[in-house]
Amino acid sequence: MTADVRIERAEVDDLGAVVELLRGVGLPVDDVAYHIEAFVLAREDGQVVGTSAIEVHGDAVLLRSVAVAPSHRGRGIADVLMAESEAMAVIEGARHLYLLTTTAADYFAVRGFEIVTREVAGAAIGEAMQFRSLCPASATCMRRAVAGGIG
Amino acid sequence: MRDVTTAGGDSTIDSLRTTVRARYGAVATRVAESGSTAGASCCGPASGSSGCCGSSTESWDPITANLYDEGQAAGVPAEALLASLGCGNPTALADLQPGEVVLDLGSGGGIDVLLSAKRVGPTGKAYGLDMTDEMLALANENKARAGATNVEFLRGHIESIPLPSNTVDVIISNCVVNLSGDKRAVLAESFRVLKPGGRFAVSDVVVRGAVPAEVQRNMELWVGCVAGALEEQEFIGLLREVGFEGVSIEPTRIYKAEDAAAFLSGSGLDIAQFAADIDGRFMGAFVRATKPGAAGAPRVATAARALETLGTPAVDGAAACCGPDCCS
Repeated sequence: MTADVRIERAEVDDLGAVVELLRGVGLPVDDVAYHIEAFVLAREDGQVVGTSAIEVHGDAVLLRSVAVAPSHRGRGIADVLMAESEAMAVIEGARHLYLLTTTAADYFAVRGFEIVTREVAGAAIGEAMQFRSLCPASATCMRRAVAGGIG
Repeated sequence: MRDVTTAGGDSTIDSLRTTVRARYGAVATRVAESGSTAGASCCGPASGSSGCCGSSTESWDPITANLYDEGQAAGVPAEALLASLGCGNPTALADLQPGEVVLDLGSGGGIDVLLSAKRVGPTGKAYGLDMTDEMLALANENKARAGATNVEFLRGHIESIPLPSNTVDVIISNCVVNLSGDKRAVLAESFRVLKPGGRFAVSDVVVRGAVPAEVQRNMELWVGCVAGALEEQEFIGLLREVGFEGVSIEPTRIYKAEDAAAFLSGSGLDIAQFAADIDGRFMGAFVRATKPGAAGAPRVATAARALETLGTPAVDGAAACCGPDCCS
């Protein structure tokens, strides 16, 4: 993490840059405008090089859209972004952070996330049926207690 | 109706529409209700990995980035990828100017419309056309969140565009034309609504050469943005037939065998058998064409006024909500 990367809350005007980054790494963008206020961004020289966002579902929070531009990986940017998202989750009263990943289960396991069944995750962050259909068979559902949470 | 893609196919445009609408409608409902798409989280490199998400190349280019890396492709539902990704980044390529009128065919969640609206500015206008109520509802929610005022989402079919002739400067679309059962109608309608000098600037999946019949007929693949894809030369020919000039197809990404495996998963086909058959045949491409005639000064009011005359109702943002927690 170099000093010239700044972590900031996203504004509506960042929509284009956020969509471009997420599209570039193959993550969904359809509802990004709806959730844009829940995004935190990493900027370098004005360019968005990383994103992370939360969705609040009661006392469970879905960590989503965690992405770092390939050119900026390996610098710990994602950790800083996720810490910021987690701080937002604490403010929202979250007890658990959930996430779905098809590519980075090991990465998140190192960071304290544990694999949970789809049913557990679905019960917490969405109706089980919908969650089943959204969470692909090969995706890993993971959970971690929120640091500094009530929980 | 001549089905331009399926030799001997028995599928009608209506049955295709029904299937496509059902699939995409369901996706949009899930997004609107749960506030979440297939949100595979990503991150920096896992140990020993060059990157867990997207391209593993050192420099990242949104146009040529590997849109579905191997891990993603194995899991993310095709419809989610398609709804959110399509096969390109049309707004980045369409070269939009302030004051222009833009139309997105198959606008889905409306992201490209919102981005286009920002580029054309307050003197311009961005329309999104979609046939699924659920997607239109999500799009209108996105519009409200983004605070966009020069945006309008229309309900209708891309084979029969609910806009007057000669009213649009630029038509964009992200991997939707291939889903239509009547491509000629889509292109002819695009030609009709464009102003003289107007631009067709569409991302789509295009095929080079022949595709196995089983793949062509597979409806899952159709919705997965492959089976409906036009053959490259056929696409060029159709564009010229309906009147376009300056036609070009620029590959932005050639799909490899592992992508094919992702497309084919869940299709019931033998992946090993077909992946090799279609390796390198499919490409994400940027399709350009121009309607002959001089480009006039953009007149944003024209389309809106003509719309009122036609009595085409703009879709109201039916605020779809979800569980008790999502709207707090």
